[in-house]
Amino acid sequence: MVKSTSLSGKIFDGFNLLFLLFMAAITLYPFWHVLVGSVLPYEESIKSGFHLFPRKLSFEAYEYVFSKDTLVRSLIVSVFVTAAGALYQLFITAITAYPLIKQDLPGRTAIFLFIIFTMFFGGGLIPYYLLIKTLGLVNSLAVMIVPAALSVYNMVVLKTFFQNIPKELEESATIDGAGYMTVFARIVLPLSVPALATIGLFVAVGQWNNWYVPMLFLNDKGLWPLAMVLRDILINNNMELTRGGSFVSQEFMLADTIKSAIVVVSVVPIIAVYPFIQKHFVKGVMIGSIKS
Amino acid sequence: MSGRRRAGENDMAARAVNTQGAGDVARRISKYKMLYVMLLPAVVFLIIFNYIPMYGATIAFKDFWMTKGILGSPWVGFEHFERLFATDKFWQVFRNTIEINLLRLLFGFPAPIVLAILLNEVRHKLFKRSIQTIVYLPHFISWVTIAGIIFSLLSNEGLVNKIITAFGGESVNFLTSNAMFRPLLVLSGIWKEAGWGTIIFLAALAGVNPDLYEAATVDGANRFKQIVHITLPSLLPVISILLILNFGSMMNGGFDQVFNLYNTMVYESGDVIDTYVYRIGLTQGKYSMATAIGLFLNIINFLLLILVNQAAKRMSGQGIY
Repeated sequence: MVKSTSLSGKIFDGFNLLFLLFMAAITLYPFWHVLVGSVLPYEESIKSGFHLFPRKLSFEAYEYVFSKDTLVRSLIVSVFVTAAGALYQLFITAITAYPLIKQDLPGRTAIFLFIIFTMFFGGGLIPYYLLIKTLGLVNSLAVMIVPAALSVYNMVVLKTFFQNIPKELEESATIDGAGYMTVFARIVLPLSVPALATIGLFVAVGQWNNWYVPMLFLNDKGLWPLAMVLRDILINNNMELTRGGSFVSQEFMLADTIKSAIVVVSVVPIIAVYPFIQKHFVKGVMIGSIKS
Repeated sequence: MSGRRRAGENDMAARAVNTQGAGDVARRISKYKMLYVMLLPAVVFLIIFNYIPMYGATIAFKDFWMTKGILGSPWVGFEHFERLFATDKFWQVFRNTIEINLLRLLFGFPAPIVLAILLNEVRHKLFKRSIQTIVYLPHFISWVTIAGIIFSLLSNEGLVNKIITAFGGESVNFLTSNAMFRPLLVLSGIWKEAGWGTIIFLAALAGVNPDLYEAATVDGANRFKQIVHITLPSLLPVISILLILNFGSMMNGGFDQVFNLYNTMVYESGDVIDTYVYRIGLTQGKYSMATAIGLFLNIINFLLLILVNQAAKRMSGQGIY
């Protein structure tokens, strides 16, 4: 890509720039639409037409969302499930990846195959459903955390990362009499913070967005995380959860604005952590696609 | 490469065992006992949450009764499969899954390649990085949220129809028409994943020697010719590998996307195997039948994967597992 000063090169660059700007606009517009929709006063929203910028702002919908116990509770559930789930899965994934980098560990290949096979074959939805039922995890928040102990894919990514840590660092610690647990906790983990942070944030985003597990196993609406409440409201068009109190007529007026506000509340945390993941994820994706 | 390397290590390990005997293995096992302790939780969890359901899949060959349990329910052989293969609805969702995936392949597969090539042509670093940041974003948003946004844009009272009617047009049923549903799946899929998909192609392009472009410019090749003769050929290995891998997930209907976007009006064009299994099993409670479909699907997926891996190995000397 040498700087081309030719006219055709400049025309190409111009069109390319415009096209990419257009792509960026198409990507961002739906988010903007929701954001504007969430702050649009009722009088404005009933006027048909296109609101690129709202002329007046109203935070009524947000006040409404944060005044509803059910919604606030679901937000707390989401935060808990996201934090606990990510830490737990990261811990199990890391302690599984580490032993597998030892090439002379007896049974290493067999154990690795035993783990990796689950990526390629499974029993399917119904046997899994019956298992969770038998274990008594239905209607318990544990179902959103405990079964997701290990992501095999992330384990492989982390294993590749661990393999690139200089062996000498580990060996010198071992000579000093440190056991494997100590080496792992004192040397391997601190050196892997970027990889752990990236994978942790990926897992956290997955947990935050998880509506599937609650849909299958949580019938008790009091346990629902925000993603599931969102699904109930957006997809099933069920406003019941936001109901209660004396808001009925206001609610009717606000229905679309409330939906938009809840979408914003669910997307903002992802956009907030996004810059932190972005720094690393390209590398993570590459390691993952090359595989060990 | 990975497979071969692993095999090589095994040979080395085997030789080591031969020369040093079983005492060495015992010594290494005791040296590494803490490492086995670290592996224990994962192995236990995988047995419970992955291997026991594989055993549970035997109810595909049983007449499953909740009260009798998996063990106590009577065997019926291939009865469920026979009934399944005689069901028109099953073949419809089977066909839907393949047809939708072919459409995704045809339109969704080239999208990130084109986008990556165009991004690669941008010389202004900050501009390029900003566009990348923006187009990666939808990958992290769940299909529930995206479906909600799509409904608010495309429903009968949605923005797009408001604009159409404001210009005197007739409002369009984007969400409940069989003609519109597949384009909706393909386009929303591109919107969500095309940007993210560029990562692997951009990485491949980062490795292209800049001298090639310089030489081409000296030879008088314009930008378009450079793309055709330098950029595309450099991407070809990655493109072919990813294309092959894509066939490995041909039976995967994309549950999250379809389940959040579809409705009874578009079952004819949009119902896929995964959503069908969900409804048969968990909405209608036909556990054995749904398990039979799931098992059939998983076996096809598994065979496809082995096939695809063989093909990838032959192409590049590098397998995917």
